[in-house]
Amino acid sequence: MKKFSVKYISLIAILIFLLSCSEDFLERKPIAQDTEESYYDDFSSLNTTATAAYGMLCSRDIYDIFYLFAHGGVGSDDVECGGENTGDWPEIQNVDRMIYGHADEYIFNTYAYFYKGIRIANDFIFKAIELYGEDPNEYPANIKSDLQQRMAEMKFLRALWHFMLTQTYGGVSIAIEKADPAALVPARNTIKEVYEVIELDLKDAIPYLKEKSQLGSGEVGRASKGAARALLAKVLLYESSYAENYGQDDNKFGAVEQRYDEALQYAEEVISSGEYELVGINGERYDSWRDSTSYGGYNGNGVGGYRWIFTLDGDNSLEGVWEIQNVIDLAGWTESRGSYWTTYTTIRYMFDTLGNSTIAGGWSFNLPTSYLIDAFGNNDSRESGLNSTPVESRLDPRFQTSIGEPGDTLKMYTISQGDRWYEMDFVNLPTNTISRKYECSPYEFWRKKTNDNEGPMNLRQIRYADVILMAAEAAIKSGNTTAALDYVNMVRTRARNSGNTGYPQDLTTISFEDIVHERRLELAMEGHRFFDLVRWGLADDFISGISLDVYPGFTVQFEVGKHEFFPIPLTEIQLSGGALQQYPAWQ
Amino acid sequence: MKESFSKQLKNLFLMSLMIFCTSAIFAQKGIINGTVTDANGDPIIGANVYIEGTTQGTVSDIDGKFSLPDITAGSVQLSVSFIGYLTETQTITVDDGVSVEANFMLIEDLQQLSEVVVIGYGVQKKSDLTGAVASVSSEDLNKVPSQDISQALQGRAAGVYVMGNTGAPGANTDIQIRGTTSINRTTPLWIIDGVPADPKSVNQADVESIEILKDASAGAIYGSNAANGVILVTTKKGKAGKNQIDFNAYYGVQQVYNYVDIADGPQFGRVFTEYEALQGIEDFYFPNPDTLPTFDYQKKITQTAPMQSYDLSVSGGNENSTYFIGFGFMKQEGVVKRTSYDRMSFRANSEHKGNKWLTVGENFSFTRQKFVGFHEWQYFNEYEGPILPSVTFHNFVPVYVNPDGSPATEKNDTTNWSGDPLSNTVNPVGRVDLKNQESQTYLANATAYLKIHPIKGLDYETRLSGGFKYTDDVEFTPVYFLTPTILNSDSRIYRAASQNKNWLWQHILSYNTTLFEDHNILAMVGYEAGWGRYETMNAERMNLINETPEMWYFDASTNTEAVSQFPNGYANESSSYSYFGRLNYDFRGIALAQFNVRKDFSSKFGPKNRSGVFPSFSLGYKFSEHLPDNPIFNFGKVRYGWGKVGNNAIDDYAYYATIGTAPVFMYAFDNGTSPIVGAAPDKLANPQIGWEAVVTSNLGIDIGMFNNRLFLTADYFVRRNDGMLMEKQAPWYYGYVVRDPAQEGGVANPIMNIGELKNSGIEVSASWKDNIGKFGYGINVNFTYVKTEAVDLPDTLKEGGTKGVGGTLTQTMTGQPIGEYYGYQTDGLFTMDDIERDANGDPVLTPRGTYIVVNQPYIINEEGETEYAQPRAQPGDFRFVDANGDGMVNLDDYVPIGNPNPKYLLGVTIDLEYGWFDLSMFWQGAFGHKICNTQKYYLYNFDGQYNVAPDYVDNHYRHEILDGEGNVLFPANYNATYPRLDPSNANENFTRFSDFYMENGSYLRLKNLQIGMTLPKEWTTVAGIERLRIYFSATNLITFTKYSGFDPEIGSNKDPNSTDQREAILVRGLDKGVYPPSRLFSAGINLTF
Repeated sequence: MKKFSVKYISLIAILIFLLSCSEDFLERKPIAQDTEESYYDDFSSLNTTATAAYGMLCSRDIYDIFYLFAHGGVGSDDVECGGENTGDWPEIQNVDRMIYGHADEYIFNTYAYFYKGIRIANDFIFKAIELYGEDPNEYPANIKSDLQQRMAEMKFLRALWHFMLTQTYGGVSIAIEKADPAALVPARNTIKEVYEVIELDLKDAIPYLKEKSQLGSGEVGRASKGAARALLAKVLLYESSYAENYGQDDNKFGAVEQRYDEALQYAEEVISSGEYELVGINGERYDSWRDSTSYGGYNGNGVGGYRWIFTLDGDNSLEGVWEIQNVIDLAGWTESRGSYWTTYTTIRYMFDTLGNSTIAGGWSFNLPTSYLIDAFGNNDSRESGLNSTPVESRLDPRFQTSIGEPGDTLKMYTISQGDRWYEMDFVNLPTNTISRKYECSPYEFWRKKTNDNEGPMNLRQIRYADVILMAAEAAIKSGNTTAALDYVNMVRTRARNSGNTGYPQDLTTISFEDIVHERRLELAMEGHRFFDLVRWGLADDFISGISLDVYPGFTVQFEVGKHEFFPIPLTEIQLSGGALQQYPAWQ
Repeated sequence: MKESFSKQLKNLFLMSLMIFCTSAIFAQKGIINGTVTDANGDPIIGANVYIEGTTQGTVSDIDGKFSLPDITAGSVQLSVSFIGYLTETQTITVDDGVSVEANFMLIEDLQQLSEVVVIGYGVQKKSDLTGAVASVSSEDLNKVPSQDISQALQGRAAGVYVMGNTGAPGANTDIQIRGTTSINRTTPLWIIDGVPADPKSVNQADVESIEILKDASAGAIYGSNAANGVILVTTKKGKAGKNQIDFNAYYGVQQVYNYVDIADGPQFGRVFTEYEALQGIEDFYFPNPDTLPTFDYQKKITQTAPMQSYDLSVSGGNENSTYFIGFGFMKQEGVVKRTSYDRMSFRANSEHKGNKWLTVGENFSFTRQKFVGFHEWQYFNEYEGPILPSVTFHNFVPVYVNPDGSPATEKNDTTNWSGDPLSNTVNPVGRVDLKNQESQTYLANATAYLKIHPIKGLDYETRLSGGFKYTDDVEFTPVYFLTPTILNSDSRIYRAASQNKNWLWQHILSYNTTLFEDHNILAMVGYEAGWGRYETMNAERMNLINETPEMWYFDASTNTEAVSQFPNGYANESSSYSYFGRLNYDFRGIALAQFNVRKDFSSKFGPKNRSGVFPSFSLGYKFSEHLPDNPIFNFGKVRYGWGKVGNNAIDDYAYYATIGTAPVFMYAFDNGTSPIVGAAPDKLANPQIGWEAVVTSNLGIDIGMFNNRLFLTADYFVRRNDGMLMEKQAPWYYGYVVRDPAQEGGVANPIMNIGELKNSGIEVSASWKDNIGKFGYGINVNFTYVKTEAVDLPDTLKEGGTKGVGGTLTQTMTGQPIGEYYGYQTDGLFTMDDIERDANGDPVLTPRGTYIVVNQPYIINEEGETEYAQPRAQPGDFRFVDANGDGMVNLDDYVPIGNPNPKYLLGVTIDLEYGWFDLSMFWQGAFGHKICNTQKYYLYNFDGQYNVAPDYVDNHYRHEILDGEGNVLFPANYNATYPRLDPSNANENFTRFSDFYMENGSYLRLKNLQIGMTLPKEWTTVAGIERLRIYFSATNLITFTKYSGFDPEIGSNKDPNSTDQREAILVRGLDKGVYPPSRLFSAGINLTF
């Protein structure tokens, strides 16, 4: 009996022992998280990825600071870096002085973010094709129009990011294939090759996009027909400028052509759509959280249109063709859907009631130079062929919106001193100026609600005035001087009607230089100047030889053939295993 | 003839005994009776009593008595053995029908060579060990009052580096066995009574012994979990016999014994005045600095704090059942105010014999812990921690103010902490007062086991075990105002709950036999399967109805808008199963060999690498067996082991391409304040991912001398981690990786098995124990030398940063030690001898009135001008070394300036005993490493924002400073150690990272001194007390170090449970103001009934 039980138990033990787990036991799928293989099954899952692609527009610092400021602005003659002192953000100070190198990855990481945006747009496009096929007409009826629109939006975004890459880095590798980490990075394409992809994407997109006015509640901020046309006009204008000023450089530009007429066509499609308006062109005043008296407005009658665009109330106004939607969402520094442009560019210190500089504001980057101040008075000696006469700079109503000077005030709220106007303190700001285009009352808009400095103002990436000036430029280059003059005067009229000083007056004749000048003033401190100077081939003329207030005695030197485009980040070159090559001047 | 016949009969009987192994039934018999006692005359229960060369034997009973009947007449060799005692043999002559008495007094085996140590899935005699195993007894552990068993291991075993992350109550403990195995994870595997569990689930008083498996030949039986070593904890069991009650308690007070030297009010005021004078300010902020008060903020945030501990256990049983039940409670207040830790624990172990071949048992434990105070990471963050501000905050500022600005004596609301009129720094008292953070952890572990012994030599054991851990965090943040930027306008309540659940089922079959008398074989095979799940959720709500604790719940929130209030939650699951086996072989106990193998299957590994095989072997040879018996050289054994183990520092699901829904994927169409949720693939996944394979070789020697009073163990090891898990930087073109992946939707570079790391080192431990009459003494020394080198890394790993000082601090690169600090080398100060002078010897001045320092490297630029390496340097500035000699001083001149990993570790225990009294001393030290003291940035880089080091006040370079009338305000000081005060920071003396920040981190510490008195038994037994000992103990009594900060033990923010410990591993010894070290004086009592 005993022997039996021993054997019996041993047998059970051995059986248990041999019992092995099946492979299923080891299959542990992620919890609370889907995987790429199983997530996409309908339009709504695709739609979240479309939202994620838009989300990339709010990536920390990228579109405001690195793209607009570090790349588009600070390298130009109109902007000095600023900050607390010359040690504040040395990488950008180096761009200011044109002494940056290709290892300064910190400021060149727009490269990564632009490609991340493209990749997410691609994720949408490839998965949508996988699910619903190539032909937009064959999409299932219940989601047909939504999917068509969303697909068009993703092509718009993919085109936008490709364009920003070319603006910043020149010819880059096209990314319209599914990412395969096992493959090598492809070589750089020429700018023309990238533009062909952009053009195709935008032309594919335009028919399916909605006009801005058709975007319903909750849709504002999606790519519209107008945005796509404006972008296409811009791309065509860039191609034309490059062709005119750089010829067909095989290495960088490729077979670019002068296509001003096509650029004009797309810009005019935006103008004739009736969707947009130069806000305040007829002298209308707008109520705003800002004190109207402080900005050359009429007492008690609101502020002029130009000023009003750059207020929080001016978000998504009729002037906005393509705006990044920024909000305070209290999500924290790195995750906020707000923009840091406001924090970076608002004045650093303000005086309290006792005259002590104790009120903290922003960080005082993006300082306007004396060259820009002169330009407002048509007095920049380097500009020639202007049809406007010298005048006191501060008479242009756009001046006070673009440039702050000692004596200027900013309305804000502090716990200790309440809601009132505080005088700005220009201590440590060698230019004695500050840009006011995206300023917000620091306490009103961020300190009061969040400690993370996230700004709620949309980044106005393409304004209607920009489109009109593009049209003017394309017109004059295609020989239609009358149209060009009309367009420029539209912009000048609105400017004039935005203040009570009367300037600038209408032009009676027009030159290309007038358009260069008008773009400079109308779009001052908004991050366009450097890119414009480069495409016009004027960068050497306007940037070389300027001096900076921050570095007395230092002369900036723009090297032709090198500084037109920023270097591709060094690690990216290294990781490409030789496929990517730096332009010769950067090697 | 008759006699010869009986002799023949006996011979015949013995032969038949040997052949048939059956007992004789027809011979005449005698009886042996006796008692087994120890040297004190106390009975030894359960000793083995047996007749050599036969199967006859018994065990001693409760009174130490035994009786062996049926002994065939004649002369027999009777032996008695017991664990921890030397085996004794007596020759007894037995006559038929007579009972003989034989008493044994066993002598304690000082070196405990015959001691049995626990190894993975089994036990082994210490003398037969062939792997590198260290053993720590509970007796040693309990000599130092410590908050948990992992801390108690500090200095106890060679090769084991133990350090608290911080000195805060309940801090996590960082244990590294034999250096850094991996940059991902170095936490060893803890096995409590046979199953993996959290060391915090064990109360120190319940521990019987701790074994540390240091090399792969010992650890490979734990396969892919064992790369960082394995710590086996065995808890106490009841002993058959008398029931025993133990009560241990101590109460002590902790006091901070070392503060950082900082300037007092007047000293600060004078430097500040100098700072103003240098800027041309004439109207000084402090008209009369000498009258400034001084408020000692380091003392204001600290306190004298009590610590107390109580343990009660009851154990006992009979031959069939034993039990152990223990209760423990300890509470430690922190020396930093508003921090504390307490723990309650309960354990029940029992074992029951069902019959001769079946045994069942269980281990159960329950622990509750409560932490109050700062999160551990906050102590390592210069913006969040309370300690650094207590050093750097201007101490002329009173702690509290009244609304009218006058100093107040106490806090009256959440805005009356003083702000600093000179800077925007945080009031340290405010920071401590505002902390309302509490975390509770509940741990329950239960194991049931069944053992079957069906036939001789064969054992089967199965264990089913389950664990549960629940953590509950609460943090309340009131509305407060400390400075214009350090404020909170919304009250917040944050709550988090998480739980871990797991089960494990093991089967172990072992067989033990001896073949041909000389060949001993022990074979074991086993199988186990396990599953674990972690689940967590947390949320925060803002703007509570009011700030009383009754409102610290979500429903009290009045805010329905903020996105940050979204709750978060997720879960992870993993499962695995394994086969393992071991074969031990020895030839007459002289030549020893052991082979282990384990095959792991785990859900953590990618589908392409689902299983792993981890083999090991070790060999030993007792060469002393060939030596003649002599009193000097008693025991000698050489060992060699080789093994391969794994480090599965991989996050669950690492190989899946997941969809992320991070906030960065959201977008606020129409400027809506609640952005719409977006989702996108967020990972470049690598399906090939597998464990890190770590290969160790170990050569060791064990020597016993002078009747085994001296025992020496030495080991040399080499360990190599091939295929270390590292991020492989992916090109940005693929669109996954951006500047700050963790903050951009969890995107990270793909992880691959590509790095290689090597450790090598030497461990020596020696012990001596002897008596001279009533005087007993013992000394135990362990010494470790470890070197860790990065053999191959795809990229240089740059980690660590600190406020004010540019760039990353440490770099780990191929061919170099890990975690090395890189910065500039300084070579003293420039002086007036280094400047350009004209023909008359007068200094040449620039248009701005500064000197030109010419005695320094330079280059000639394209314009033919001389450009100096430090163009803005003045006399009194640091001379940074142009290490590469290119005439420039820039980042290319960074050189290694110090490694934070100690080269040598030392632990020394000295025990003395005389009559009633005992004294023990425990010294512990670490040597040959550097500490990066970032507090020096605040205390030396004077810009008026922070307090200053008194050393700097007295000893910085200065030209004469005159006031408007030409009177000397500050005299010149050319013979100075520290750079000049420079408001423009032209030469960046302190904002460049240099060897100025590195300090020698070596220290030797009298960790513990204990003096005890045991009352004579004769006295205590009257009161029914078996043993009564009272003692006084002092912890951290003396520290020898040159380090200038609070304490040379700088922990790191290392979560022992995390698979990503990279930053903590690569940035060690970074002092951002560590929790102040304290001295504990305590008195305790040990009571046994």
